[in-house]
Formats: sequence, structure tokens, C-alpha cells
Amino acid sequence: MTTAVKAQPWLGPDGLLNTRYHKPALMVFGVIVLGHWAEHVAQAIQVYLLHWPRPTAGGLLGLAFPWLVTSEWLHYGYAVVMMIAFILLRHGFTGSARTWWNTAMWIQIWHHFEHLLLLVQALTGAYLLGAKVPTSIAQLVFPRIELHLFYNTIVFIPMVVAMVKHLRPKPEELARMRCSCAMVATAPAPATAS
Amino acid sequence: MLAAALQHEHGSVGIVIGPMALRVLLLSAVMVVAAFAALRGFTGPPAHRTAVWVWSAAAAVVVVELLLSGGLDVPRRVIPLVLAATAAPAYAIFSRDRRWAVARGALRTAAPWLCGAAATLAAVEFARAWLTATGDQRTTLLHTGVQLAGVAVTWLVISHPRRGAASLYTTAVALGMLLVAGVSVTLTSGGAGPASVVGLVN
Repeated sequence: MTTAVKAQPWLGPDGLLNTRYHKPALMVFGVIVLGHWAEHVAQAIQVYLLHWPRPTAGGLLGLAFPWLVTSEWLHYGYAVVMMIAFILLRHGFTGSARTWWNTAMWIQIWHHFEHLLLLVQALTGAYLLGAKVPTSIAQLVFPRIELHLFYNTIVFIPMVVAMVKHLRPKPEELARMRCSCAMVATAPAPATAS
Repeated sequence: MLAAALQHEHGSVGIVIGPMALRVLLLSAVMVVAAFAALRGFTGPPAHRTAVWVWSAAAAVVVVELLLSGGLDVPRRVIPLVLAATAAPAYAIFSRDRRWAVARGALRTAAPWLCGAAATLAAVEFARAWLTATGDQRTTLLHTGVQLAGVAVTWLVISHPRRGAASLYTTAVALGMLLVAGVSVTLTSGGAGPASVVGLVN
């Protein structure tokens, strides 16, 4: 007689991505996010230390694939990856860490929408409210805002706070955690009298 | 680093497919929301999947109008508020977080009134377009009316008024706005520009 064992799903609150593999998934996500920031740092070094002409200062990826850095597809692809990661990995967070993660997630959803709008404008040639170039919603309110830096910063800050709180949870939060992310020693089980 | 970040170039996609796809999307979305508004008075609250589709279609109407209109009869700085009003019902549809049940309840309570307010504003825009405006101004007012009618339907999706009169009012106003919106979109998205619109409407 055999017993059918239901495989644990990957997604959802009980999924592998939010339990056993939450920690490695967050590490991969962190590498992607830090890699993105590293591109900006590399770009700054190229401009200010190496004094490269600005059009050629495309970070590291831009050296190998110059077309990639100027592509709207790259920006949109990164925004999609970020948004999906925020949504899929949110169940692993508990307590205040979850609140900070959700905050970053909603900001990223809006950030993704802005990129989608820019992509659609570039694809269709129909620009926002008759503008002459692809325009974002935020630019209607803040005409001179640097959107890319601004959005990535306001997503990054709550994301980091969420991760730090997730690594150092309060006891009640730790009790609800089903992943191995916490950097605190698990309390030993009480000894039973024999 | 700030200056380096400033160099990000947006807008390079390699191909341009033109606005026809947006017009098709707009007309398709208007048909979906008009059908929902027409049937809402005879059916119960929509199932989750239906709510998701109708809200998505109504939101598409609102956003696509931003791209196709060339300008709207609202200040540019109000557009984020219009989008926020469009997005808010989505929280009542998608969220299941117990901590925010009160907020979702408040959204559903306010929904019939906000739906009615948006529909009334849309009606004003349509009335101004047909009674007082001409030329490009008429086109702008029609586009604005279509967008506001789209906002009204996003709230209609989560409107479940208990009183029959409120239900009838909400549905009737939304239905009327959507039928008008459908006609207006058909006229204004023909691709021949404002001159032909004026000719058709007149």
C-alpha cells in the first residue's frame, strides 16, 4: 500500500519560496538589487574618476552591450523582476518587517506602472497628454525630478529596513516565521523531566 | 552618482507600432465596462474574477485616455489624484489582509457615492462637450468624460448598496455614462483628428 504525498508548492504562504528557500531567494534578490546599484556606482566612477565622455559611461553592462543600457526594455525588465520578487516573497515576512516589505512592494508596483507607461509611449508614439517625449505621471507634478534615482531610492530604503527587521525579529515575530532567515539563536526546547 | 543617474536614457525600444493598438484596447475595454454596467442592475455582486477583469478594463480606459487624448479638461497636477481614485478600488478587490479589513469596508461603503460623483462629473463634461463646445475643445471634453466614466466604473465594481434606490441610482448613472462614453470613444478615436470628430458629432 502506498500513500500519496502531496508535493509542497513553490508559491504562496506555505510555498517553498517563503519557507525553506526564503533565505536563498532573498539573497538572489539582494544580489540583483545591489548589482543594479553597482551599475550606477560604476557609471559615477567612469564619469568623475576616469573622466569618460558621458555618452560612453554606461556602467559595466554598457561596456559590453551599449544598446542595452539605453533600452527601455532593460529598465522595464528590471522593474518587472523587482515587482514579481516583492510579491512572491512577501509571505515570508512577519510583523513590522512585513509592513515595510509591503510598503516597498506597493511603491515598486507604482514604479513598474510608470515604466510600463513609458514603454507603451515609446512603442506607440502616443505620448502622455500630448507631450513631445515619453513622460511619466510623476513628471506632471515634479517636472524636474530624476525619476530613476528617486524611485529606486524610495523602494530600496523600505526594502532594506524590511530585510534588517526580518533578520532580527522580535520573539513574537520569530515565532511566526517559517523560514531560516533570522540571525538569532533559536531557544532550546525545554528539558523534560524523566 | 546623481549626475550619472541623470544619464539614464528612457524611450529607446527599437520599434514603433503606432497608436492603433491603443485605440483597439480602448474600444475593447469600453465594451467590457459598458456590458458590465448594463448587466449590473440585474445581477448580484460580481465574482472575484469578474471584478478583476472589469476593474482592469476600466483602469485601462482611464490610462489609455491619458495617452490618446492629447490633453484633458483637468489640471495636469490633478491626474495623479485621478489615477489614485482609479486604483483605490483595486485594494478592496485584491487585498485579503485581515489587518486592513476596516479600510476595505470603508472603501466599499464610500464606493456608491464616489461612483455617483465621478459619473456626475463625466456627465457634466459630456454636456459641456455637446452643448457649448466646438472643435478641439469638444474633443478634449469628450475624452475627459470618457476618462471620468472609467473612474466611475472602477467604483461601481465594488459598489454593493443595500438600499434599492441607491443601487438603481448608481447603476443607472453608470450605465448612462458608459453608453455615452462608448459612443464618444467611437467618435473620437477614428484616427482622422478633431475636425472629423466635429463633423460627426454635428
